[in-house]
Amino acid sequence: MSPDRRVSRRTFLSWSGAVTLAGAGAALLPARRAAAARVGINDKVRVAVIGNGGMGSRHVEALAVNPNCSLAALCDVGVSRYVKVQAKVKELTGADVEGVQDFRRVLDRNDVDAIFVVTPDHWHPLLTILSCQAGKDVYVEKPACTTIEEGRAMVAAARRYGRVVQVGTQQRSMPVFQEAMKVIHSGRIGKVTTATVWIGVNGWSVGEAPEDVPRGLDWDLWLGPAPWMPYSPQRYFGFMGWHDYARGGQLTNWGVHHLDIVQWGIGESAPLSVQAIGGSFREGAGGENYETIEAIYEYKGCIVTWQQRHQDFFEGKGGGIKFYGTDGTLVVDRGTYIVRPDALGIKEYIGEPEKSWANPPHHNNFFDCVRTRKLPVADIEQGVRSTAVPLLGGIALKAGRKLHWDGQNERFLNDDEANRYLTRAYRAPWHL
Amino acid sequence: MAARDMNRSMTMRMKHLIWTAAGALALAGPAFAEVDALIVDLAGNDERARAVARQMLPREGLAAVPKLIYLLKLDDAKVWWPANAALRDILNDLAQPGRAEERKEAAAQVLALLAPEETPTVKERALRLVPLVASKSTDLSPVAALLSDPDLREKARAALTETATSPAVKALAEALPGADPDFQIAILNSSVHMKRREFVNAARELLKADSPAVQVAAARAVAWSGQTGYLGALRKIAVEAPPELRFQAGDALIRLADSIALAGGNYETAMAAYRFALENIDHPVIHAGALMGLGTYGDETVIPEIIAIASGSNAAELQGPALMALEQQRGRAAAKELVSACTRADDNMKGLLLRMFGRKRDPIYLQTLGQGLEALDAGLRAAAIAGLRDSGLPEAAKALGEFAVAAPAGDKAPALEALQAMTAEFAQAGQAEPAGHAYLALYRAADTDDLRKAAIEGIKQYPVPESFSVLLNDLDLSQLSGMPVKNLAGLHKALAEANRADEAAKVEGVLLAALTSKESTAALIDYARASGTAGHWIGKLGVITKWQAVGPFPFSMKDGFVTAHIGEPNVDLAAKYTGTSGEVTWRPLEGDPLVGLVDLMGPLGAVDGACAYAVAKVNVPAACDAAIRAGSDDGIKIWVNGAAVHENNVDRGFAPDSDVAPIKLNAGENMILVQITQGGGGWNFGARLTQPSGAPLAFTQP
Repeated sequence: MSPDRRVSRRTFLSWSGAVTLAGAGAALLPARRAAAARVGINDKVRVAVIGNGGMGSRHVEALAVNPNCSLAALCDVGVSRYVKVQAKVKELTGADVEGVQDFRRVLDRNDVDAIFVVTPDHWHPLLTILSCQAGKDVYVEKPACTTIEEGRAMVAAARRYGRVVQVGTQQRSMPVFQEAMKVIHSGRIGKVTTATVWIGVNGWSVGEAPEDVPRGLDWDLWLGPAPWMPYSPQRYFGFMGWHDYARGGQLTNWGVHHLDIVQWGIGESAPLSVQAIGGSFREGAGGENYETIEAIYEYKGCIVTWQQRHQDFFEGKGGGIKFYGTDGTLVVDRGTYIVRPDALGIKEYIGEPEKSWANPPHHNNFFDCVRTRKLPVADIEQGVRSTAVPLLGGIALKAGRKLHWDGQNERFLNDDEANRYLTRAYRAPWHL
Repeated sequence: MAARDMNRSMTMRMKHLIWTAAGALALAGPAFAEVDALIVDLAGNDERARAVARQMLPREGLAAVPKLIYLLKLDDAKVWWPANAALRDILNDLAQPGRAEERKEAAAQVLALLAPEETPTVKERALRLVPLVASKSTDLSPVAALLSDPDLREKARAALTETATSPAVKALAEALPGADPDFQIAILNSSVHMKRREFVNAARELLKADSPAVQVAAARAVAWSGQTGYLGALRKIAVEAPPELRFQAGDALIRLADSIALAGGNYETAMAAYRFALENIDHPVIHAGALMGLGTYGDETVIPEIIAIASGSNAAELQGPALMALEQQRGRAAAKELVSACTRADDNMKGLLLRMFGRKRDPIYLQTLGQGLEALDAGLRAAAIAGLRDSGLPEAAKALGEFAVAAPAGDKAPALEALQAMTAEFAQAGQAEPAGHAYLALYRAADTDDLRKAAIEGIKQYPVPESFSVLLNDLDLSQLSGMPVKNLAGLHKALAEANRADEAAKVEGVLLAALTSKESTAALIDYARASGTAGHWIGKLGVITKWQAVGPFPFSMKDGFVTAHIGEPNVDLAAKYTGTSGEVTWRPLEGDPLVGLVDLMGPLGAVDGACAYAVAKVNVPAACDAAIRAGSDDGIKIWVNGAAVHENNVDRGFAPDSDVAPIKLNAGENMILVQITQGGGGWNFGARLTQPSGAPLAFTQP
């Protein structure tokens, strides 16, 4: 018997009596009737945070003190992670919050209105979809998805069941980017014909050494829809370096943020073509997701480049976006924007320093939308469109050729081989 | 120390193996030395050499494939893993056009790794390469064979799913009938990824499977097809599903209804499916899905239905999705229905609707939003305030301002906050006039000095005529230059009403001198009429009001001003002429005192293809340069003291100051003659005299 069959069956059969009674292929959601959220205009939104690692704990710390919400549950496949975050919540608020290992116990609760999905990337789509199917609204971290098909399924789930789904592209809620967009959209730097994104932070450990699964970690559930592989700390702690859990590394990690801003700036939602080259040249054979990448996107009337390099500190900034217009250039990152030439008379904008990657205004926009049912500033459709850009770059890296993209139908033109990368098989019993 | 020894030993053993493999596999050819050296480097301990080998090996193409495959079979992750990565690069390269034969050869080598004698681990690694290397025609029977291997069938299913060629679909479809229920479900889920018609046919057979879970998976597998023929089966499955499968069964039905609606042509069928789900499937999320379907694909007739369901007892949890369903509705008919249905909704739903009406940014909702401000329920008033703010409409700012002036204590602050937000939005969007009016409304409703001060700053930046009464206390008349005419007129009015005659006269002078374009003159006239100050401006603009006219005469726009009908430029007011309808003589006509507009159609008749003449006498005390500013419907030719100064053979409507011509006036009496053409429709003209700069010119008419 192969390891994947053994472990996945164990996890499933241990889940609930309902599964056993129902026999083969029982529902992925619990037997109890799922609850649809209804939040009054002045109510606190009751949230559960699934995924309590580095980013998850940042969200929890911000949410714990946010008057617009209350923490109903914490959830992580690793018990030690939610226990640690429980302690932090206790320290911040004095409150005890329930922690669970299996997300299905969270989705089954009637007193949870919204789910924060802060897991490794490969779980983002399915948890979003299952949460929508449980009648919950969702805040999902970026990248929204690992394939185009997943992204479309996320949008479909949100729309099919009338749920609010916000993607964690919080730069949409940051004044520095909002103000920079006003400058660009005002036409003061002319028509933007080129944009460059640069990032100088990259790299994960190379290779792996499988070990026994640590006590308190449900490794099979961590893998979820991804192919079964033995546990290794390199996969668990460095998931972003692995193609099965994060398709692109920094390309998708930072790329979604910055390429989202690029598309916002130039007013486009999909490139016309993409080509890319990359590699990991630092040591040994490198990780699955490359350390060094140059990708070129062709948009209507604009060329966009992604430059992922070691130690790229342009004017002391480790990453950001440069918009080149016919009359001037605007350079923006999370702290400031600068417009050149000075003759344009646009002063440097200095925003508030970023205190945490968990952004309260972005949270609050989500909570407002949960109450009023309007689309959030980083609605899932937009989040998927912005995630698609680095994903397409990743596919071009593999294909090694220029790919023409049909943004309307979300397919490569005349390239069936590249189109195979738009989807991925889920490990049974998980499915979209 | 021991670990290092072990590593060294492993490395030596590895090198030996690799050299053996290299010798065995690289039979001959120029690539031999290069490929083998890279292979050895890739498996070695020199990290820099490994990095170079990882980069360079894909350049070797098919020649490197057998050697990399050999490494792929090894246990050491440090060796097989980078070999796998390099192999993937090569297989991707081989997918490019023109390399079909090489790809075919590589596919054969990869598929050979699925032979029975290979270990499960090697097979697993090979299966993950299959989607990269399989072309449309690649025989996937080695993969298909593994679908019956209990340990590898899952990996084989994944490989075939991602390959998605016809042989892959065929292999999965053929495995479906004989698989156990768990694997049937997994294959059916694969089919949803692949979305192939041939798979739908295979799935159809399992809609009647013994296992309810298989039935549900089959239902999901056919749902994307949009075929109405499956509705009966999916309705039955949904109704009969055990509780733990109820959602998934209902979800399949909703998906099918969605795909039917999207496919078009069976609108009523899709609507019926949603209604069936609402009535027969006891699950709130399925109800939400049905409401979304009705709202998204239905016309305005579904609106009362959705609101009734969401306003029913125990339906609170459906209100969010119901609102999002209603938000999908577009068009005027839907807007009217939404407004009407809002009155029947419960208070919570009504509040949500008011917020939604604001987001629509459509004036059609303004009345309802305004009525919301008068609601007894504080929550509804708050929703109306927010809705008005979200609407971004200038009229909404006005309503908010008026409401805030006398609003109850609890409403005043949010109303002022909303108004303030709107002022900022108007200003940022460059909407000067709405911004000015909103700042004025904010000033009038402000309850603190700080807010009033902020409003005044906004008024200064975005002045509108009505706001000058606010600004009189810190007025700086040196700043008048460049101010829009409409604002100058408003300022003049405010000063006059405040009995500040000297300052009003100064503003009036600046204003009149600013009437140098037809837009600026029109702006003053519009303001004067709207503000009730027209009487003040009569006689100030230099319009010529006393005329003698004669006509109609024939005129062809094609020919232009070529025929003299009255012996022009000479004028004999006692003469009689033969016009288009018989004998015509000069007759006095009076122009409008504000604009100077003289109607010709009434006195001379409705005649197309005609022209008429009008003459006026003006006296100035001394010879001077001047300008004549005229508008006409349609064309015009002008003579001053017998000299032609302007002509414009045009088909247009009247606007003051449409044409401007420089003229010279003699001391004493001057004669101004105009010829006005008529193509059809209105027939009129008007003229005024100014200094060349546009400043007022003093003259009299006898």
